[in-house]
Amino acid sequence: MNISEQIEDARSGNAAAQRYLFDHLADPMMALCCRYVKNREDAEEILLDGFYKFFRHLRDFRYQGEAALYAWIKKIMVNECLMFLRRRHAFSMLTETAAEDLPRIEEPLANLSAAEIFDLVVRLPVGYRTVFNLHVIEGMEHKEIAKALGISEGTSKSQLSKARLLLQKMLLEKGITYVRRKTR
Amino acid sequence: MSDERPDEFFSWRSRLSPPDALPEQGLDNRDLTWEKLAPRLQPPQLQPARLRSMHRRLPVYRIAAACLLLLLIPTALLFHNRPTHTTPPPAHPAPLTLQPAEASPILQSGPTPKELARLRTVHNINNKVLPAQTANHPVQTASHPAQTTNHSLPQQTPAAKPQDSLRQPVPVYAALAPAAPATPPQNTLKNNQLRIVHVNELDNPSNPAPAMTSIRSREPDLRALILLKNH
Repeated sequence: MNISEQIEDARSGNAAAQRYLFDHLADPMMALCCRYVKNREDAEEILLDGFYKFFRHLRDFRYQGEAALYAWIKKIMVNECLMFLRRRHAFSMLTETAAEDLPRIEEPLANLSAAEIFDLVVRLPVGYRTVFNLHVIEGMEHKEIAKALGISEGTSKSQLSKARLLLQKMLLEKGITYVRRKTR
Repeated sequence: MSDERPDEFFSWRSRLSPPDALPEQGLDNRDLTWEKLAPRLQPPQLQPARLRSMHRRLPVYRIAAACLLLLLIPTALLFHNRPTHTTPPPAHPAPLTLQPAEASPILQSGPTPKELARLRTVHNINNKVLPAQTANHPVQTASHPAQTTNHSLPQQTPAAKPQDSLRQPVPVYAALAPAAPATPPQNTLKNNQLRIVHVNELDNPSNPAPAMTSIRSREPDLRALILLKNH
């Protein structure tokens, strides 16, 4: 039985099909939640809420391939994470400072493993981490981030700049050097 | 201005985005997590009693909140439309307070509106009734101007001719009590008694008019008479 058929069954409330989809998607979604929320218990709560919404709105979803399904549930989980973070943290209190023109770090990062990158990202403070995740990993624009977090675009940019600066310091501590490039 | 480009960390995105990028960050116990989720996914009639009761209570809470809002909004609007400042009391010459025991028995019941209108008229030195002056007219007490109460209007001293002060209206209200306690005007009108005292009476306090004599001052005399009769 392929995944589209499982989705059809899950729409009609079939518990086995729902369990199949849960098993298929739970681990990557848990990793995603842990990237936004450090505490694993909180991440699990977010995961449960996200899957509940996923199954509730499954009948509105039009299956167009596994990538689309994955993108859709990922969006649900990111929204749940942001809702959780908005409840816990006041993003509006983030200060806007001039974003620094930092040297680019490209080559050394290409050599880092996913686990190493994950460890670096989760060590960032919550404001930096959220903006970094949304901009760098999810590919959101600063305008979208500002709207999602209730902050200004400038704040989003300055948070990303600070996140990059902190990441560079962490990379230096790890012994990874980076090259300064003339960007423009 | 930041010079970030979305693709600057493209290598990071491509490493973290795949579903199997971080297998070690998966769920610790998938079965246990599913057991938490499965009851929530069941239809309401198959859900556990705790969840069912929660679902049942939810509309009740919403209805209660709506009722509360329906009650609060008209109340808030009612208070919002009400003027915030109170109208000042009408300006009229505040009568002096009198001791009830020393007041004339004629005026024990308090002044009627007609009497109040009459009290507002003033007497000149020739005992001619003049039309009522403005509310800012000077008011003096019978005993001494310094004994005016706090509710008397501010004293206006004639600036030009001191001789004209004799022609100025003379005290309208007189206090039988030398130092009357200061009370609000409303209470004064209700509880205390007033009487008109002519200026000529003030000149000769040793020989007060019969109306000025209080009952209490006459009481010892009456008692003396009774004693004499008994003897």
